[in-house]
Amino acid sequence: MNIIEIKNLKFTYDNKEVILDDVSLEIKKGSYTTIIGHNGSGKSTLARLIAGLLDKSGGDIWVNGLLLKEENLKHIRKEIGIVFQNPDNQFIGSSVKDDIAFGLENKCINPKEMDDIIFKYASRVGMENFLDKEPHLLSGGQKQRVAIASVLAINPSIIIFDEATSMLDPKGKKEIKDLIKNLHKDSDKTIISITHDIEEAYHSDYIYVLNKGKIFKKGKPNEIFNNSKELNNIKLDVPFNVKIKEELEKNKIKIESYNSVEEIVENLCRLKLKN
Amino acid sequence: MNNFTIGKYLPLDSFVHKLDPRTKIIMLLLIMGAVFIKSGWIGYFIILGFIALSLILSKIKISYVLNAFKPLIMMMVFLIVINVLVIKEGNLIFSYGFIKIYDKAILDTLYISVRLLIMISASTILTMSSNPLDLTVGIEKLLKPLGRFNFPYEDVAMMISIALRFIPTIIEETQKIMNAQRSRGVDYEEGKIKEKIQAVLSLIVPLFSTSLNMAEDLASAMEARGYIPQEPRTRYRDLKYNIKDYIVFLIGVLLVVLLVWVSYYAI
Repeated sequence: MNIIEIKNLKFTYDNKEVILDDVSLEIKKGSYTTIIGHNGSGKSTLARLIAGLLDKSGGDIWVNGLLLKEENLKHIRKEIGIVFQNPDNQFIGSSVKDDIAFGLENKCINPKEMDDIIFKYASRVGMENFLDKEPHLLSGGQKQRVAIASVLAINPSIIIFDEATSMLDPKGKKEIKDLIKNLHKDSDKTIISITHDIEEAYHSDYIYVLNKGKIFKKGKPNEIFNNSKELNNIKLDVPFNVKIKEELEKNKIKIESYNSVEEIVENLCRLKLKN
Repeated sequence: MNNFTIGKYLPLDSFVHKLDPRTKIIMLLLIMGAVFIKSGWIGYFIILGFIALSLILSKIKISYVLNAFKPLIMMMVFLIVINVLVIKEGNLIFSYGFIKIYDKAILDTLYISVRLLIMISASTILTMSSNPLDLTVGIEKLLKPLGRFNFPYEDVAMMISIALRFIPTIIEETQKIMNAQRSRGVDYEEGKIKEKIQAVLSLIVPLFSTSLNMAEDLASAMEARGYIPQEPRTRYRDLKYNIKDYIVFLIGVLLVVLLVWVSYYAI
């Protein structure tokens, strides 16, 4: 079942600059979909349109069977949570627990129940020992984890990560990516990740490649990354393991699987043993 | 930016800290009003005694409160000089050229100084002994009756709490921009006035643009988490009146009554 359906979506600034042009896509319930594209490909705009933070110029968006329009906005917002790019600018509360509480306050949840909910979701992202900390005392990765907890606390069925790792250091990036992966594994939430991190996209269920406001390619990771030239033309790279695979194939070496660097190393070692 | 500690919350465990912020705000307002009751020096001593008592009960070191006066010294000196020179009542006690000083001028100036001393120390005790978040909730609750006249008290409280939340972020951002501009050769410490103005401009323009971006991002984040202005929301932080608060409130009222009595009968 498709939880999000988009038909012929269009978005322009002042009827001049075309950001999205005739974009149609479907996202399956419970899937982990990545939308990749170079800067200015319109991928962040797409995320904001789905969440109803921007007004579309044309086309239709259905979220969970509801058409996105003014009257349904309140319902649709409840279905969608977004984790944005900048860790500082989405930290609304003055401390970790206040930030998680913000969404709960908007949902009119009884303050007496809030402490339990806050603790539950702070533990989910490993921030339960930082509840009273103020944002300027946290690292970027920790702030993003709080943002994820805040979104989880509202209990949306869809979570959009809008380049949530792009402003973090390598350690923070890895933490957040692992967290997203676990979240997908342990819950039935639909995850949409807007990213230019090719490695992350490789591990998702389905990929949409955006270029200049149009869908350039769509498919499973293996289908997307089987042609590195095509992707390089739109300034996108292929994952490291795919690159190795191509180089190996050039040298007529075949191994069983290429899913991760570790697997490739293991398979190559076995190859040596066989010979 | 370490001098930003003036009036900053000091998390201590004291009687005053545990009071409801609403009680403290009302007490501050009562003291500010009481200062203007014409009860002479007796009145001022009563108020000062009350402030000294609350300072002791709050466990705040007196040096912290005195620090709060530092940035105001220039203003106070200016005020005192102007007052002494302008008021021309009472007996002439000093004359040199066009400078004429009267005894009433000195007395009035002393009154004003004491009033300032009282108001500043009282408000410093309030901000040092109250968590800004609780203070915001307190302000919101106190403004609530104005909601009947369509006063957007919830929005005002939200704005105050967001402003408080973003002070450290904006200071951080300012330092980042200053360092970035320094690395490009901007000198913030030395130079002629014109150069200094240019240096400050090189800070203000990027600071404004990042602040605007920040505000836009924050608005999206708030909207995405279901915030709709004017819609009902619950509050995570809630306040409760204690027996202590009623007692302190009663003492405050008695203080004002005492001062009014002093102003009628004692002088």
